[in-house]
This record gives sequence, structure tokens and C-alpha cells, in this order.
Amino acid sequence: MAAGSTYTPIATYTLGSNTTVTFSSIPQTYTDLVLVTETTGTTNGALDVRFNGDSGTNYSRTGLYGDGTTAESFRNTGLAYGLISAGAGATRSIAISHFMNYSNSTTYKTYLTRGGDASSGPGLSIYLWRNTAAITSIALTGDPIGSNIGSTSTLTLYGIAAA
Amino acid sequence: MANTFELIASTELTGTQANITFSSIPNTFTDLKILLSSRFNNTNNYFEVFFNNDTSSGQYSSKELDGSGTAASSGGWSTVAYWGFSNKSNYTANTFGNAEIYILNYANTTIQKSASLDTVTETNATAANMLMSAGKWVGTAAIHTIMLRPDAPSNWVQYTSAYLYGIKNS
Repeated sequence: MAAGSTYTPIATYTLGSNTTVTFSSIPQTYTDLVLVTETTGTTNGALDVRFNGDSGTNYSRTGLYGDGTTAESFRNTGLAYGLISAGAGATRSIAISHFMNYSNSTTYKTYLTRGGDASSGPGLSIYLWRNTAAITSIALTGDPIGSNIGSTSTLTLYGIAAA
Repeated sequence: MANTFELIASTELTGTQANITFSSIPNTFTDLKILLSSRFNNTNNYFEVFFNNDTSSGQYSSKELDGSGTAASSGGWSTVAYWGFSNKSNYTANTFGNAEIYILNYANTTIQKSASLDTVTETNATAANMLMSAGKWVGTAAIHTIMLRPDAPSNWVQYTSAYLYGIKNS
């Protein structure tokens, strides 16, 4: 593995109170982004994700999920935001999300997110954002959209360079 | 530029071995990642992940999502730390499974520790699995030791390798 020059922290938050988070002014100098989250205090066990403030129904997903008893696959189109696994109530949940070719300005953007916790189980989803703009901001709220993420949650955005 | 993804320790086994242990892990990183290439000398499915030598029953829990190539299933554990699969002795010769273990906020001293684990056991044969796990250790101490242990009576075989990386958020 090359040295850390290809895994560079862009910004990190440790929440001191219930709030929402926006990574803005994301530099366009990397190839991919990785968002690592350990979260708690959401209402529905998910973070809602919007790129560049886009609230249109431009997000879709296909996923796998296991709750400890049943495995299932799901698919949704026409969503107004993407989702990332998060802790509901007092549960702490982790997620690692990869945003590929985020600075490309000619293709739709995809991200792969995997996460979960020992209470609700693991999941893996791929999302498409039907927009060709380079991603310059990532806004995260609790689900339902606009609700808070709990205090003590940690969120770090890393930049991954191909060279 | 700061080195934010740093190799802390690694091992490649020169013979059969019961456990792989990383000890004296510095608390100067934010997260830890382990990359494991592994095979058992017996036919057990799982390996366990223990922190700080805590092997007590009930200290770990997990839920998992499995795919066998023909079906998907989900299960969970509450008394053992069965977090990952490995290739095993009745799989295609010379094939090794892969695992990635990601442990967040390992140096924190107030929260119970969470981890995600992805494993695959591709063999170019009928037996192959992928497994995703979400695991928790109820301990709140900073993690200074990690032990990877096959379910008995399996041991790790020669050429099994493990790499421990530290990731910094600043």
C-alpha cells in the first residue's frame, strides 16, 4: 500500500450535539472519495445524502440486507436522496461509503455503501445519482430528511488519488 | 503530507499456527483495517476476532449476510465472535480466502467498539461463499490487541497472511 498521500482526510466531524453535517468545497484533486461514519441517534437508522444540494428525484439504488434472520434484495428508483446505514436511537452503527469518479463532469455518479450494526444487521447498496456535475458538496441528515444525527457521531471524508 | 494510511504490522505464516495476534497497537490512529488472506487446516467455517484478549462468552455479537452462489441468507451470533469465513482444508488446493476487517474509533475509551467485516472464499469450484458481518464488542477500552482465531480444531495454514493498517482522520 502506498503511503497516506492517497488516503487523505478532507474533513472530519465529531458531533457535540444533535445536528446535520455538510462536507462542502470538496477539492477536485482526488479520484474517489471515502466517507467513514459511526453514527447514533437517528430516527430511522439511516443518513440521507444529497449531492450539491440536489433535492430532485434523481437517486436510485439496488441493495442487499440481512437482519439476522432473513436476507433480502431491494431496489428503488426516483428517490430524492441517497441513504447510508446509521444508528437508530442509542445504537451505534458504522458505514463505509465509496464515491467513484466524483470529480468527473461527464458521467452520472455512483457510490457503494456498506454498513450496519450488530443489532440491525449488515447491508450493502449501490446508488446512482443521475447528474453529471462534479460532486462539490455532500449533505448528510438523519432519516427522515432534515432530522438530526446524534451527538458523539463521527464522520470523516477521505480523498483517494489514483496517482 | 501526513501518512494517514500506515502499515502497523504484518505477518505471513511459515507453518501451521493457532492464532494470529497483533499486540501493542498504538493508539495514534482513528480507525484500523486488517486485510487477511487465509486458509484453515480443517473444515470449520468461521474465524473469531477478539480484542484485548477478551475471549469471554457474551462479549461479542454480530449479524451476517451470506451468499453461497445459489442462495442468500442471514444469521447472527450473540455468544461467540464468529465474524468471518476462511477457505478450509476441503476447498480447492492452494486457494485462500480474503477478508477485510474495519474497526472504527478503536482508541476511544467510552464507546463499545463496532466493526465491519467482508470475506470471500472463492475456489473455482462448487463451494464458495461471501459473508458480510456487522460486529460489536461490548468493551469500551481502547483496543491494543487483536487476535484472529479459527474455530477449533482448525488452525491457520502456512502462507496465511495478515496486514494491520492504521488510518488517521487528521
